[in-house]
Amino acid sequence: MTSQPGSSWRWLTARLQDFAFRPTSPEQLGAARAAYCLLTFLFYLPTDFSPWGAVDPRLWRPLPVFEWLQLPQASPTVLVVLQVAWKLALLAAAVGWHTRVAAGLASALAFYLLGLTNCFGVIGHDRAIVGVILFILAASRSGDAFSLDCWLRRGRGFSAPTASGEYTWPVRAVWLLLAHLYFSAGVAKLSLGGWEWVFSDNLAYLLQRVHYYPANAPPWTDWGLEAARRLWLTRALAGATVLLELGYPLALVSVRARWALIPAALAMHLGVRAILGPTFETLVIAHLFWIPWARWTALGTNARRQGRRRSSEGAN
Amino acid sequence: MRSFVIRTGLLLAVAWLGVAFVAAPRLIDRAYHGASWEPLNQLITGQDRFGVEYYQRRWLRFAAAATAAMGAPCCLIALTESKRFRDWCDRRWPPPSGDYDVPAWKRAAIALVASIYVGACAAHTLFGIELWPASAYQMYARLRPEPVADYWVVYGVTPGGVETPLTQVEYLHPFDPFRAFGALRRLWRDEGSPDRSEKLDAVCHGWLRRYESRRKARQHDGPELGGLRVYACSWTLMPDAANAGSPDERTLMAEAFLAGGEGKEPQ
Repeated sequence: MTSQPGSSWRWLTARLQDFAFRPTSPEQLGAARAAYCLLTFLFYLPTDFSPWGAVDPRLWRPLPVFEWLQLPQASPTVLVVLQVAWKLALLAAAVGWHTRVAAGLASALAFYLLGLTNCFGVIGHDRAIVGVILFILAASRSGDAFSLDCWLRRGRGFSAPTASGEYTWPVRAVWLLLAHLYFSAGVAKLSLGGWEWVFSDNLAYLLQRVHYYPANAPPWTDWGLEAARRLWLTRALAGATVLLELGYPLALVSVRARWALIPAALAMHLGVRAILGPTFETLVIAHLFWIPWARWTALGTNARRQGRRRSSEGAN
Repeated sequence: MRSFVIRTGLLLAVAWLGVAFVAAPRLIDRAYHGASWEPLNQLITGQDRFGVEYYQRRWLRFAAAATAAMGAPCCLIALTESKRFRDWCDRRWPPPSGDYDVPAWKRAAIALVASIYVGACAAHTLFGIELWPASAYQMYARLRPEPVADYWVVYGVTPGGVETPLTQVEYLHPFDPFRAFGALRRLWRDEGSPDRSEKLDAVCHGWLRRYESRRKARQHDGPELGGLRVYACSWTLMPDAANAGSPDERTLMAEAFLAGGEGKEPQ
């Protein structure tokens, strides 16, 4: 039943490398990049960061990373310039114009602008993922498909890129990021709250508490109050939440689990928004990386080819 | 060699579990009461604020997280040692080709960056160090199984002296009500200085001026205000939240008025 010493380690690293670097087509990464950057751009387009520059400096409680890098609270004017640059960089990354430079700039500015909003006493965790994903896109060849860069290169006579591991690891890295995030959230609930997080009245009281004072947004409905009256329901919801969060990493390795877990996670965010209030749009947008874009684009290409073949046969 | 490694590993695991979950809580109890070694006694200084259970709970949380952090890789290695498991994986997924066009240095660099990120997240879990953007994602993880709520609520005071809670997201822009509560409470807790009340008042004065200038610019539709008050409020939760507008207790933490608005009593 056992094997040579060290062979299991080699087997594990070979499996991990295969997971991250097995060659795939550039369409998956390119389409995910375009969709992610576009939705992030549209989501943050109405957000004005400049008022954070006018917040009373007595409230300034910089994040450790802001302290180490000695990043200051910029003035409102500087923040206007930075946010315009950020949104333009996001748009450029979405259309794939100087993709890697645009994604790099968008990543750096996302760290600053989104980090700045966490430097006044309360730290929001969901938005941290934006800068990390943009960094992954900047560090990878994410502009080799569905981009202006690619279109211009083809115009100059360059051939289309072939399948490569360079297009696999960025998508897998975002998957891992999401799996780690949800798994950590599940572990945190059990390590800080224990089984009581599920089997006590904790969630019922939490659902009631948001009607006394809202989180970053008020809940859409008062269904939370109704649910809180039924302890079996709140305990079932709490149990399902922890199960979903702990089970989320299964989506990394099982396609069947993916079909169940990813819609369930999105439904959970919808439910949280409806009855608890907090908005996790950035996490929802990040789920675009789970969509099998390459399969869809291949279907579209095949359909177009068949259409052309039929029309040429008809002409003959 | 192999059995030596396994036996040593098991011995270390048992020793760690004994120290972490049996010996250490007793040691904390002794140190809390000043009956342990002097260096350990000096580690615990907050006897006037916290009971011994607080320190024991914090230690046990750390010990559980550390056990999981050490145990998970060991379990993974033990699992991959099983040939049956590996055969099952090889049947389920195509075998690794081993032929990758990504250079080895780049694969190593990606693995290194991913490890640093996960390590930074683990630092939050184990030591409570928030290395944003890495995080342990502890949203709503803390347990509060009592039917109570306590928040700092910002109330606007109209020129007629009527108090109204400013719960709309637009009113204290860019702060939403929860961030406003967090920012004020953090200022109060961090500042040990006797002038922290004045600092809170000054912050509220800035918020009040900003509220009014935004109202005049029609950026929100809140009522005209002559003052702002911050109360630490507490409620006993009711199933229909009918008492949300009337806290059981209110303690004034800060207040600010525009020129000429001082001295109005709340109604």
